[in-house]
Amino acid sequence: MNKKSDFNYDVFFKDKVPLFLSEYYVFPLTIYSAWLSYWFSEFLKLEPSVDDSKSYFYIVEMLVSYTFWVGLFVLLISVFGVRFSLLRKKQAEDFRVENDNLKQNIQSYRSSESSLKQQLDDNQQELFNLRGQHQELLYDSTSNFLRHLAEECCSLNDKQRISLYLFSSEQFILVGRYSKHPEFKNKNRMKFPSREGCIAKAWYDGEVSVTLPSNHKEYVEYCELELNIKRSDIKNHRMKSRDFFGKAIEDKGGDRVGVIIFESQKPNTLKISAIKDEINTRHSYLSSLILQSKDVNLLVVYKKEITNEQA
Amino acid sequence: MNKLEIAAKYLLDNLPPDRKLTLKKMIQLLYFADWKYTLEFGKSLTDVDWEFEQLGPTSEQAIAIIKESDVIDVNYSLNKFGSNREKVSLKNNSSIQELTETEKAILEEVLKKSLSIDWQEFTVDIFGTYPISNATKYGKLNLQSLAQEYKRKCNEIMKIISL
Repeated sequence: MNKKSDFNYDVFFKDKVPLFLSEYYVFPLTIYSAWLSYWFSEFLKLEPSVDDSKSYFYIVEMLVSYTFWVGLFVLLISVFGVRFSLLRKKQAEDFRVENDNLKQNIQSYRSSESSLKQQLDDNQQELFNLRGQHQELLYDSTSNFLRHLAEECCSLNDKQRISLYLFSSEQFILVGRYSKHPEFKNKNRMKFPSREGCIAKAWYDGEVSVTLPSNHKEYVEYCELELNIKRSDIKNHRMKSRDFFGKAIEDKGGDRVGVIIFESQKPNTLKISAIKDEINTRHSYLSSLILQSKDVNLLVVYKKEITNEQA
Repeated sequence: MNKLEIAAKYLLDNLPPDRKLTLKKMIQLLYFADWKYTLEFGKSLTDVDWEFEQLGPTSEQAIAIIKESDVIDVNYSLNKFGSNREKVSLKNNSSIQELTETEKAILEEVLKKSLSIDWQEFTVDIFGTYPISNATKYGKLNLQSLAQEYKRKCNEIMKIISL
């Protein structure tokens, strides 16, 4: 099997030969100069007394001799060498100019990049602040809607409260709350574990209605065993509610997006059937409030799963 | 001079000339450096109290120190959206070398990281730190106890993985 030749004629004649000639043209040029001097000296050796026709023939003889053609060939090579050398110099100059232009462009791009990075940083910072403001406004408007629900529809009293939570990344985030009691309506915690309390029960069961025991010990035990709330957390609860009603809120596609919780410090005071009717009537609006909150809530938008490396 | 002021000045000293810092970002950088330092050495780098608010970690104490600093200038302006912008810069070039090599290394690491990513990514990193991602309520952050808690949890996870 014949081995395929790697020889590339284009590269050889268009690249290698001109390069070689432009590098080494000085050698044939030297040889040619030597030959020319030799030829000229031989020419000068002709004596004036010699017959003109003889000297003429001598010149012709010299001209047709192989040395003349060798000299001519060397001269041609030298001429090509000079030509390629000039071309290379021109190319080198063009490359230098182009390189300088590119360097200037790079410098200019670097400076623009730095300025753009700064602008991006400023804009993202502004977006972050706007998201924060939007989150606050949305929290207030959601709480106002819950207030409307509490006062106009469910007649909630000072010992009762409504809270709306969105579910995201295995946790519930408070997106609106209302109570007539100034302390109970405050945001104490802003997020809650996905498997604790009535919120989790409503989320997993779809609906929950619970009345907790009045006896403190039984109350704590119930919270611990039935609602999976840690004993240490129970004492931190600002509002020790005994009556709960919660319902999972779904989006248009039927996926659960959050939970609404009604709670009361006094047992059997929540008007469950009226509350259920109101939730059913306002379900799509409650769902849209949760989804809007999800889009702007900083804890959702800037959430990242924690890793050892990034801690 | 306060430790936080020295750390803030060090950050500004090492900031590339074509980049600027807002007060908010400076506070976040200091929080990040403080958390990393506490995690590594069990003590605070800045000696200020940190709080978690809606817009992330902050420290009224740190803000007051920077605003009253003799070496750091806070320039107030409006950004193109019409909101207030507080840029921090150095007032003078007085040289202060009161930081240890490890403190400098952590500050440089935090600054370098923040310059290599944009605000959004940096905020995700800040919100991903254990004190913030694990906080259930807004309020004070005790970085030292949180660092211990974090290490303990990591060790427990490592034990479970190794079983």
